[in-house]
Amino acid sequence: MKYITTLLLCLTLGIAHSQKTYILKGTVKDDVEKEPLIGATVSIDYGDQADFTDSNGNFTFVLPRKTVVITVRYVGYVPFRREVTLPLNDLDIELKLVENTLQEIIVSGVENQTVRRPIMGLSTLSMKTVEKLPSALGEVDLLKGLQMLPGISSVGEASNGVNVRGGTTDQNLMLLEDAPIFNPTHMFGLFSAFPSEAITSFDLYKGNVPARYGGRTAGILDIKLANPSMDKFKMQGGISFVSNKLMAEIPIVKKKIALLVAGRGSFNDFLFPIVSDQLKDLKAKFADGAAKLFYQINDKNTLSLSTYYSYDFFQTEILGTIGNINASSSQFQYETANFSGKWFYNISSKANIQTTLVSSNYQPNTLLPELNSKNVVKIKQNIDYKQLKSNLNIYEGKHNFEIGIDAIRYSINPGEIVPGTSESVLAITTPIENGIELGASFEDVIELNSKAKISLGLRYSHYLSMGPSAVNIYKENEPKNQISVLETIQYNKGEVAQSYGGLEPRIGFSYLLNESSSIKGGYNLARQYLQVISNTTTPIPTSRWKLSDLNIKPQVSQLASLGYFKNLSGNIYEVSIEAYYRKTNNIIDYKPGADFLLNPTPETEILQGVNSSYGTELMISKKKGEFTGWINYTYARSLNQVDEGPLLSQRVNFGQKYAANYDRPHTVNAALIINQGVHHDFSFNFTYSTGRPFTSPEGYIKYSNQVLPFYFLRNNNRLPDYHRLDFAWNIYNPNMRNRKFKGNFAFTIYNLYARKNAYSVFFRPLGNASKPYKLTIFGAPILSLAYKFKFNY
Amino acid sequence: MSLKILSLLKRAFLAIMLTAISCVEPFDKAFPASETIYIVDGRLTDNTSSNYVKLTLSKPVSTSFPTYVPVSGATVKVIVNGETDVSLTETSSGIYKFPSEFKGEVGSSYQLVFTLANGLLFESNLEKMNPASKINKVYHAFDERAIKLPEETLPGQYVYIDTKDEESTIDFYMWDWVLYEQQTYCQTCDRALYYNDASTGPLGECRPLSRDRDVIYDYRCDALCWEIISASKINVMNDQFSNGREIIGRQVAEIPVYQKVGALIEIRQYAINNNVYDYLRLVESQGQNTGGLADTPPATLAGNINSKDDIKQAIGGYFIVAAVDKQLYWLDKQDIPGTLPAIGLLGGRKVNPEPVNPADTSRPPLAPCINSDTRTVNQPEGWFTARQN
Repeated sequence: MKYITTLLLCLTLGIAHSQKTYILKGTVKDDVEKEPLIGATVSIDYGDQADFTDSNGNFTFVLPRKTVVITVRYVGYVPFRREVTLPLNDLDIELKLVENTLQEIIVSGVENQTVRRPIMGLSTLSMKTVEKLPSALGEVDLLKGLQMLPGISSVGEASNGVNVRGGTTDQNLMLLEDAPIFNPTHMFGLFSAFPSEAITSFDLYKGNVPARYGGRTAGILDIKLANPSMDKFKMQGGISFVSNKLMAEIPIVKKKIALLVAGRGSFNDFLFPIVSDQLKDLKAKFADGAAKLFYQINDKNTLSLSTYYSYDFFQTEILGTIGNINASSSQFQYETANFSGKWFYNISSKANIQTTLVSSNYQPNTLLPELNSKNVVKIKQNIDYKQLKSNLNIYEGKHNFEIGIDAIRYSINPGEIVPGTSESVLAITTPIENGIELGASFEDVIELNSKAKISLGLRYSHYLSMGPSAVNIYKENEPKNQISVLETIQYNKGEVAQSYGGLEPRIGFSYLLNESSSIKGGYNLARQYLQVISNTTTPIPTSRWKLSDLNIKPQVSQLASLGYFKNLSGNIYEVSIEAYYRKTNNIIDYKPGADFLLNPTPETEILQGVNSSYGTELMISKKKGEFTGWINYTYARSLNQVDEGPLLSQRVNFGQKYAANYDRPHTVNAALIINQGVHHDFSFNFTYSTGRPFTSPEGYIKYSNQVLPFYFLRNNNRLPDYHRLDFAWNIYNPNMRNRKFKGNFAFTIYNLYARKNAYSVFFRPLGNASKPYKLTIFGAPILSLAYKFKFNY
Repeated sequence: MSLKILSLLKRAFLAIMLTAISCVEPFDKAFPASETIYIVDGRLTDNTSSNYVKLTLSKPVSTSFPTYVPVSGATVKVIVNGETDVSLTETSSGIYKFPSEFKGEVGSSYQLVFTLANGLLFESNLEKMNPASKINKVYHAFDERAIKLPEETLPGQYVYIDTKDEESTIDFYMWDWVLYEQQTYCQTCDRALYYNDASTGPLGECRPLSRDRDVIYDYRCDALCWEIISASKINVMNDQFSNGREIIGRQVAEIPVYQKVGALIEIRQYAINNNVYDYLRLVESQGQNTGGLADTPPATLAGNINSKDDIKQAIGGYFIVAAVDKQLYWLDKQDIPGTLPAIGLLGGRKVNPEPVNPADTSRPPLAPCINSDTRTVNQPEGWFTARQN
């Protein structure tokens, strides 16, 4: 009874309380002109009450609550939203014109410079945007973000890299602080291996490539780590379903020396046993870390030393096993250890010189534990890359010169068996491959007049295949095999076994049609002396890298592109259309059953041919305002032709053109970010693309008690189309207080409508038939929650 | 947020995902055959028992899978060392057998030549017989996940061998096996009852039930009977990484738990040549090792048979010439956990004997064990001795 009385009392008081009213008065103005905005919509508590401002920009409400949320909207202006405590008689609201705001997203080119720069196909997605985009399992993923841009695709979720404008994954040069990364993913493509928190910016060149870059034929992804804060200690970190992260910026000597360290580590075997019965045998963990020491020596000199380390371990059979070594399981372990040191010398306000020393080491191992034994047989591989380069920049009137030289030394261990105590396995080595790549470049960006700019670049590239080596000479026009070897030439250490090289023009121009639109074009030639040789859909971490030599010619690619660019409505919108044609000679394809593991003569399994890729990319982006985002459509083809001779073993598909594994003619990508003030935003990703090609049987045979598919033409069919919608809700600093410590949450749903996209279709014998199956990587909505914090001392 | 809560949330989400994600599922699309393919499955060893040539035609029909028609009436012979002809005789439709005492000899070369009833001539490459090394040891181990099917895994027993590789030669190995499991049920009738008396032939017959019911009955064998199960997986290896060494722990068979009583397995180790090895490796990568994240692109399986009369004719299969070493091994089932159910020998279906009717003790009748490719009434060679060991 006592409780009921109390309850009644409370209710009565509550009603009495709610009957009290409060006043809310205010004015809405333009933030620059300070002119009142007439007819702006003012709404209370998301539409509970609404009104328009009068001819003086004023509004008045009488409200029954003490705290309300007020929202003000006006066409062309950024909406205003705030929680206010009443009564309030003089709320001055100043709205910002959308076009005066900073760009929320930058998708193609530096802010507002897209139209003017004489460079095409430069995609600069800001790291901030990548962070806002939904990602699988809450791991911010640069490579997945890039695939939302036109011209960048992959073979599917488990792809060990990206395909840029019809190129293979190994035709891209991925640089982190100038050091190349040979394996850019963790967990066989599920996550990018870049330390996302420590990255400030990156450039992706898929069209015109500046002359200072060489050695790869498709895209250049140049990623820079942030410079650490020189005066304040900062720390940030996070936790997701997959990993823990931490990053710190530590000023060591204020304004002089500072250090940045970032690290990420996964939870052991985090997901797979639960996701699928198939993956029960899978064990996985990974880690990566980066550090950068920045030293401001004086006004003219700075020195920065960076290092990057990445580690992966996983046990799986889904990447195949080594048939000729008997083991109880297959384990992959690989690590990257990179280092770069950069000295920047400012000669004058018009000239500077940058000298960089780079070391990159990639070491993939296959571990094979033996049955009933503690011994583990190891197959070691190694890529050792050392580079020295220097670039001189001179700004002189209408010219902008860049002169560079660089030298790379490659040393590749293609494979070596370390048998341990094994009684079965022999210690086998494959000869170390050595090569030297030299480059000299010159580039001048010239402002011809107020409308026309031209960028003239020329690179000379020279490659030396170095001894010690034993080179087989094969009979001409015959399939390369042990029988067609005419002689074997031995080269000693320091001897040049073969050399290749030539000039590589890099030309770009832009012409302003008017203030807001331009046309641009370009032509590029690039040579590539180092490639992955792997007879699989996408290279695996232990795929072999091979230097060019007498029998494997360097790939040479030429790209011509033309585009039209336009800014609309005060740079709020940007529209572009680009078309390209790319031809690459000496691309690599494989004879049936090619196996490169410890193979001393990989050329006997390789066929070289021509790739032609072409496409048109249409992009519309909205860069400012409450809604930002982009939508693009790409039509692109990538066709290979391999015809070394008339025999079946010298050609693929009878020498006819066939679609490359990653040929996806139609692609639509859309990203939408709904900015809801400073405390949260929503974002959506949608992606659609034609299914990638695969080979389907044209007959079946019964052989050896099983029904086998019988194939004729490669890539004669396509997987079902791929599409997916993702959602992210980012909440920033939810307690809304401006403390030194701020926490953010990111809630994401990957594959919102649970499309079971096929990664591959394969056939397995079943009774009297060969049954088709499809493999899906993420066949359900993947929910995840990630937490991040920032601490500024 | 504390780590504990996050870890709890993590588990909850993962539990949801467990039910929602499936990695491999049947792909609902037909890939009908469009090519007519001659299939040659031939084998000649240095043992009289396992030599044959099987000719089949894979013919596209309107449905998704082709029909397999035995190729009868062909004239089949093997030319030994380019000199002597050995004729094969058709023992059953499309199956051609060597003369009973004929076997291959190490060091000799053999070429298969056959002419179809329509006059089309086919020839194999010249195949030389290499010596086989001996299997030194056979052993097995139970594994909870031994049988890996696209959509599930089953418990089973792995069978391993040890052998010594010959140092002076480059060796290519192939293994297969035959399993003999004792069969107690010899006849199955679907919506029918089995009769085996004077009114039927010696094999008996299934007669439809008087009232149609969805039921399948199984009938016991009237004598000892063995189910013959053959390897359907390709298993090949070369000695490039173990030349001259002991090859230890090569897995040669995965046997599901058919029954909880012991069985006999015959392991065969063949000495194949480089070309057979390359061919079978392709078969392996296209038929078995598919469905991974990094499959190799399929290619035409070009064997060692061709037809000069029609070079465009697609021909599948291989005429394999290889010396063989056979080992019998008693696969006891004592390491199989007692609680684990056996899948039986009826294709996964549980045995359902016809219920005994006390009023009619003449039923259910027993059924004869009929010799076939998959069943034998003859006690397998070594059944007794292997069991003693």
